[in-house]
Amino acid sequence: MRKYALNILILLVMLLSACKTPTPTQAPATTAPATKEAPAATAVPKTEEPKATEEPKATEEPKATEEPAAPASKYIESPMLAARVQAGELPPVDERLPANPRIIEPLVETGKHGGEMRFGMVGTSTTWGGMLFVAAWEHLTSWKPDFSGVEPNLVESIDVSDDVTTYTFHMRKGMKWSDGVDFTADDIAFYIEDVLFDPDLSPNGPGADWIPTGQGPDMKFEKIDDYTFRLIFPKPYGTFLYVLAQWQGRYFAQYPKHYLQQFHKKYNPNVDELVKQDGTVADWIALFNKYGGGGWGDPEAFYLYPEKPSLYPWITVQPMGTGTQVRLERNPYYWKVDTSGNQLPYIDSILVISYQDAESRTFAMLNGDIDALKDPGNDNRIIYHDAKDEGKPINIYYPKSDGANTNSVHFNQTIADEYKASVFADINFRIGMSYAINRQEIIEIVHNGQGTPAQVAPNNDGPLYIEGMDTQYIEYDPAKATEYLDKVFTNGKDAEGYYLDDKGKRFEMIFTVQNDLSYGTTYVQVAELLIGYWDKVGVKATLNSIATDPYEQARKDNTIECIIFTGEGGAGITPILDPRYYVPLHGYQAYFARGWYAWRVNETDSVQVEPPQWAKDAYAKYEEVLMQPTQEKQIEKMKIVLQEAKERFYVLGISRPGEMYYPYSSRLGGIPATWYDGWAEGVEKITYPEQWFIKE
Amino acid sequence: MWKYLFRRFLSMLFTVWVISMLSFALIQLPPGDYVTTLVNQLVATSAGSSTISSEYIEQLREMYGFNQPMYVQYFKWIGKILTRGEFGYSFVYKRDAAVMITERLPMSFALSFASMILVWAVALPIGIYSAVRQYSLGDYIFSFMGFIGLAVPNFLLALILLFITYKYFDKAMIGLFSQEFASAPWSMAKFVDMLKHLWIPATIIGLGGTAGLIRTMRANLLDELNKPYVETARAKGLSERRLLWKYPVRHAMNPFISTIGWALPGFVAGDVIVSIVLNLPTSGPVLFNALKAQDMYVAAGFILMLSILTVIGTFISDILLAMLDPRIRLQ
Repeated sequence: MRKYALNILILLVMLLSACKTPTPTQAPATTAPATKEAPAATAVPKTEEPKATEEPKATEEPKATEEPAAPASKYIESPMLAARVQAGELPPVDERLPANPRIIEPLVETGKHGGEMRFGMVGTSTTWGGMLFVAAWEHLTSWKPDFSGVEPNLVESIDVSDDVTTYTFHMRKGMKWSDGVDFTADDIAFYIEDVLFDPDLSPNGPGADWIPTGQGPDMKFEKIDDYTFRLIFPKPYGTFLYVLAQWQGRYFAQYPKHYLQQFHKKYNPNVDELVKQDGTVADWIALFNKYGGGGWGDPEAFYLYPEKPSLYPWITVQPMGTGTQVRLERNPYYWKVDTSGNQLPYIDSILVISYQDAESRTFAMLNGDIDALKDPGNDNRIIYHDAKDEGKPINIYYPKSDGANTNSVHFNQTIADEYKASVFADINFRIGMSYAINRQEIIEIVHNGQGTPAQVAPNNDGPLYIEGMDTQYIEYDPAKATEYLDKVFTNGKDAEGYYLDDKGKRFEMIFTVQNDLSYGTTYVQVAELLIGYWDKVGVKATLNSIATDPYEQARKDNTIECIIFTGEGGAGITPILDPRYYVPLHGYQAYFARGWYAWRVNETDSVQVEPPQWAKDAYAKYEEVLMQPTQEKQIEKMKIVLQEAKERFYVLGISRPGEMYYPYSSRLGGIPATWYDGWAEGVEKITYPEQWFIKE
Repeated sequence: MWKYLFRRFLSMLFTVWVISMLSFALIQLPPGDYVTTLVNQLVATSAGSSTISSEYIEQLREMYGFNQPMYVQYFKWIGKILTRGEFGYSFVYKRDAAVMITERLPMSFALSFASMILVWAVALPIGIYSAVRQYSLGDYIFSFMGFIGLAVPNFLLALILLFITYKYFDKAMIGLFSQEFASAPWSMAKFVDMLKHLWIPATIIGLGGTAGLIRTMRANLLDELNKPYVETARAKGLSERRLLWKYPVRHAMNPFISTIGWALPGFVAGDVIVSIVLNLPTSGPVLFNALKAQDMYVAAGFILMLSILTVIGTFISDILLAMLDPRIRLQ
């Protein structure tokens, strides 16, 4: 019903906007420093802080501070904090910052302190509503703004052993949590020894998504001194520093020992008192998880419990509570400065406003009630551009998707039905089905003409580009499709022109689509078109559009025959970091090999299928990539993996992702004209929101 | 009378008990539970990583108590409500379910009350007019508008209104408060600010109800107007106005009184879709989200409370009817 209503609205809006002459919109010309070309594979995971010790040039006078000649300080702070220092609530800025803060070169221009950013989110979770990508996501390493490699972030420098098994981290002396307590190797030790290796908190043994599967128990942690620690892996782990910059690296900033130890049995023998006081949890484990991140590094605790100290640029001062808003204020101890010595972030506070529906949030953005939002929605592209043309205070930015394709179409080679599995495993079937697709039409109808026909393959301008992988079998050619499909179905067709299976009955398959994904609003539409194309060449598919829960059941039962999903693995080295469509056995959502994946990670509640030897070998080749010490070597080995993926042609693609867009209020500055946007990059985090600023 | 009330009260308790079981069973019917929702959210976001082991999922189920048989879960739940007044825990909001259910009630009441007053104030006079002046031009006009009001869904009106306000007044009318008041404590200024926003949703939600009420009032009154007692009264020289208000209108009101019971739950979870479209901080969307995310204690608590309100409302209607209409026997 709601969908229907919104469609009507969109229709109305489109009708009205159709009456106007469409103006082609161009990326706003900003004064951004020329972005370096595509993430060229230059940076070996070798890591020194650039000009770490260089004295920041304190050229800019602190604005709006009327205080009488304060003793010259090394860093410049926000007037808001200066007032608190004068009131005696805070130590001076130089004492709050570490000896060697992280220096950020502004991406567009040096900003100014102050102001409030209003951020619109949908739903109930501050983290997933967008703050994860704006205010959280502080990891041991962070992406360079051009996505060409990573830099030390929480730590000063990282030494890597030649065999890439031993990583030594040198922390920033004097760096503090938001309550002023030092951030030291003890905090890391607390996470590793008392959480990860604690038999109660990790009943299945030490495992986290940053540790290669199965290596947890043999991994070693050493605290060298208060500011140095070491991680030693049993096998070479060449991509570790990249993994740390991604979502997997979130844990290291989440365990302030001095705060969380009160919930830990080992440190607080009377923890049961707290359990009783709390009333919502059964035991100390649940209590610890409540404040410690739910056992899976959930950052939400930082937004629910303002008393939890953090390392993030903004800290919660008013949680959502009974209202619809969350208020964040600058962390006075934030450990980054710009090149002029201004303590970051520039923006004093963030007001997060929760909307019940994405479209009322759209109106709020058009109204100018909010400054930023996440996932503006592909359907709203025209609405935002029209609003901008009408002079609304909106700037539109055009990040580049790091994805390889808009979609991947999977035929599950691991289902129980042996005949169907053999059909799906036959490359001729997939080639035939690919030739049957009119990709240009899908692009016109579904994607507003954005994108070019392609298979799922690394980007042409990236270091992992494989000649011809993106363009094989993409022509729309029903005759060729028939030629290939005839090789698969040897029993011919029935009276209505559909292929027959091995028993002489019509071959029918079920095309499952998950219809409630926030990022998959176009999936059903694409699936319907695909079914039409395949119908024309005689392959009968039936649409099964389902919601999350029945889908989840089908996934576990491994009954999904054909499905449409995302297309990761395009830009830069993302094919190495997220190779789910290039490597069988690798990914949870690699449905073409669903049962094999369940077998590899031993998913006890799912149907497991032992993969054939070639698939095990293919996975082993990928594991070898991860063991390479340098990026050059990783790329070299990965190309072998990709070459095989090209030949085996696991999944069908539709189109290269079209241009993305993000509307922001024109009040906001510091946002580069473009960036690589995707899950690996932390969506907007790669633009360093701590150096965004309010212009007015 | 007292005996009647007592009997009604006992049957009411029984009804509530049955409903409590039904509502708890009902929300468990769809496949999956909150852990499924949580896991899916994780999968959707931690793309490609194999973080979520099945052991961990089991651990979560254990932690939330989803592994117990349903009747055990039910008795635990109802036991806590009866003995301690605790409605359980909201998985999504990580807060007390009772708080989730009650915190937005004042807003819902304000909105529903405003729209109900509006409906009655507009619909009753028009309904009476239409009946008395049957087939007049005014009757035709009101009937026409009434049918349109009945036929157009509220949420569509809300959407059209949003569009018009955005297009022509440059600012879409969403929400119940201006931004600066949304989190502010209650004050005179905040109240005035709310009144400024309140009339739009109240009108939209009221419109459909108005149309329905006009038609019912008209039909009922027409039935009464042709009855002999009206003729008699008129023949005895009672003034037209006094005659109308004292007898037929009073009788024609019966159906409204008996549906007051339905207004009570409406106060709490009024028009969910309109609230979502207009981004109103009422309790309807909370129920909607709870159902969607399988946040079962919030959903069950909500449904239980709505049912209790309906039962109480019906009870009140019965009493009012008995008082208003002596023809109704207390058996």
